[in-house]
Amino acid sequence: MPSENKLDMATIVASSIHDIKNSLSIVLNSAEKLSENTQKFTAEDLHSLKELRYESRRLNNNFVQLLALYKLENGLYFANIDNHDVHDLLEEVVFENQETLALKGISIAMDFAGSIEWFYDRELMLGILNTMINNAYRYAKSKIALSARECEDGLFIYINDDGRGYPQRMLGQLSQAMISIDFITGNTGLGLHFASAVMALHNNAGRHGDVQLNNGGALGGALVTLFLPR
Amino acid sequence: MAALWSLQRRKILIVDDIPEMRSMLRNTLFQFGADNITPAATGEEAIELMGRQTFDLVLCDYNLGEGKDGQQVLEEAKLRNYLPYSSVFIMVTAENTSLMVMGALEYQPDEYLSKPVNRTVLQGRLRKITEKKDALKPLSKALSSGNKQVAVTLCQRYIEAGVKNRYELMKLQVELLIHDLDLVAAKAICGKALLDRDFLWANFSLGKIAYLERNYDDAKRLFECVLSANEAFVSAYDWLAKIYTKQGDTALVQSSLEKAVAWSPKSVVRLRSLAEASEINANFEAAESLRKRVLRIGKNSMMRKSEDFSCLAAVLLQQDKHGEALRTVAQLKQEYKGDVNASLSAALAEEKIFLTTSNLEEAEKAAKLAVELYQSSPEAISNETALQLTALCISKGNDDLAQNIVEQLVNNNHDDQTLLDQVAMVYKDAGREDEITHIVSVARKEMISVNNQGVKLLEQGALFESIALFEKAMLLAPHNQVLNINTAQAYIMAMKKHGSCREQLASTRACLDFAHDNPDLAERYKVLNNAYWAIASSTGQKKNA
Repeated sequence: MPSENKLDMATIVASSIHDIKNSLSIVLNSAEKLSENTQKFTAEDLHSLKELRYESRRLNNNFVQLLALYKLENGLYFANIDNHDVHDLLEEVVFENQETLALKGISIAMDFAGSIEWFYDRELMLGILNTMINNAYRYAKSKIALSARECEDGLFIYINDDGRGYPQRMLGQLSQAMISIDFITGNTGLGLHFASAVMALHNNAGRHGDVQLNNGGALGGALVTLFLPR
Repeated sequence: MAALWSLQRRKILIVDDIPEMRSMLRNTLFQFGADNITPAATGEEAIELMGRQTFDLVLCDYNLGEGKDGQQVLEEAKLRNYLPYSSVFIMVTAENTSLMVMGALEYQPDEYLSKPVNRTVLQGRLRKITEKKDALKPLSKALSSGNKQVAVTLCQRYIEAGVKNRYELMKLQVELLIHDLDLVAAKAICGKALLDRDFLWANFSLGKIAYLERNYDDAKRLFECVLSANEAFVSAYDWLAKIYTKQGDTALVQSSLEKAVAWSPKSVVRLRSLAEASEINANFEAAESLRKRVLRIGKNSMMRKSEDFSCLAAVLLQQDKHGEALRTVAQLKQEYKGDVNASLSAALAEEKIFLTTSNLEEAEKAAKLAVELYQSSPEAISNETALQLTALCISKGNDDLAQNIVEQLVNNNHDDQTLLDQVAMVYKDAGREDEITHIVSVARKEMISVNNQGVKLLEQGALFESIALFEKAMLLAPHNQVLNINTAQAYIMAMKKHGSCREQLASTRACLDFAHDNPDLAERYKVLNNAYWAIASSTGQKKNA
């Protein structure tokens, strides 16, 4: 049961976020509208538009993470795990990000056909995937690919790009303990911390979800693997 | 096919307190072909609009500023039957994580959307959900005609065909079966779902089923198991409170409900139960603040009842706050002018207040008014108010009227032990236990004998005599569940033999609906309900032919 104080703080945070999200919605919508008609834009205008779209998306992802982590820490969050279509999930991530990425000359594709149903907290998974795409935005040269594969133990979701990949010291399976303060510094670290915390929430029959960082894959750059147990 | 999907001709309601958000959403929906959009700025306005027409699609922001929030809009719309199964209700939230509490609430929207809403994502979601609902049209039809049995069968057909939303349909099946108290079938479906995954709803439903089977220990274990997985699953606290009520543990009733209220502070029904529990435990200060919250949150909604005022007055009186108690009664009279039950409960409250302030003349006046109101329309009086009036009559020495009221209460509820106990308590408090045992047993015997006599006539095939007897008894005891189910049986046998008519079908339905939630009558209800639908559907076919 939440103590009165925790709930009060949660209410304050929630109503501030509500306000901020409304502003962000309007900012993003205005940016989308600007993007519809860019013929008369100078290169500088285009650059500003690109920054505007990317940074407001980043702000949004940060809010999602911040609030989720705050609630997890305070025992105010319980994963809302239900069965969803993985194809729909990845498709939404493509829809959500393709325009912003296109402005920077990056294409995003889904290398996955058919339909797999799986159990997860859809909103949290969207939060992770959007965050991962936002990371890839900074490092990818021209391509990002999303895919998924079912195996005996569970489901793997991959986010691959054609950038220079993660530094050697970051590779391997992420665990909460490994993510030091030093590691968290910077947006990438916070995003990974969030991803690892959320994946750990996804457990079934004694097995937990996790996040793995690798380099390579079909595109040769960073390869993030999210694992959801069966 | 993608190009063919559109929101054209769908009646759409957009609820958001911020004008820019409303117009943004509206412009986006226009791009998807929407041509019938109504905007609303508050929850209250949304409810009013939904009362005037059925919307196919409601996009409602969770956070609506001062008044009702999105969850309250959803709950009230569902309770008022403004949202048929064919309608889609989408909750728009600013923070994805607020869903964690909402995900555990009793009333669920069809879909959640978190802000900022991306246009393409919105299009995808709307398309999927409207296509899903359109594919389930036969199910919507069965549900809105009230034919639960056909609805359950249809769900089964969709599930076997391998639809994506099969767990949602299984959950719906379980709800429908529990409503009709077909507990064995409901249990089987929960068991099947649990083989695939540890679904909270399945464990929760098993808890409800165990409660209805009076296996309180099993029920308790199941609800606690749900709460250990998600302590924000508020309905589980409500059901635990019900178990503790049955077991007479008033302290645990209160603490369970307090936990539920901490997670979900705006439910009027729950606040009211907590106020009652606090009063029983003599926590009058807490009860007073809860009663006031009920009045504040329930303002301008169907959720608020006249009893909320009289209960506040009573708890104020407990604490010797006479002036405030009188003002509360005045407000009650003001807001429920012309409502006999409310006026009567106001008079009863006034009588008590004047009595404690030794204003005997006014107390006498109030008591007289209460009696007059009862005699003007006894059928409009709730059980609660009737019990209070009985106590007043006994204290005034008006034994005849007290006996009248009790007889009517027993006639309507002769097999409701809780109520019979309450009646006995009123007499016991007045030190007259012996009398009541006699009055209740005479009235009860009479009711039992009417029922037995009618059933015997049925068995002998004297259908019309049986119906005549039951209909006469129904005038005296319209709310008696046993009588209702017997009357339904007589109607059904008559319709089978002599053919059906619309009027008799409607009367049968009304009788059955009145008896549906009594576990002791569940088996008979099931059989008769099936027979009812068999007759109703063949009547419909003949009409169509």
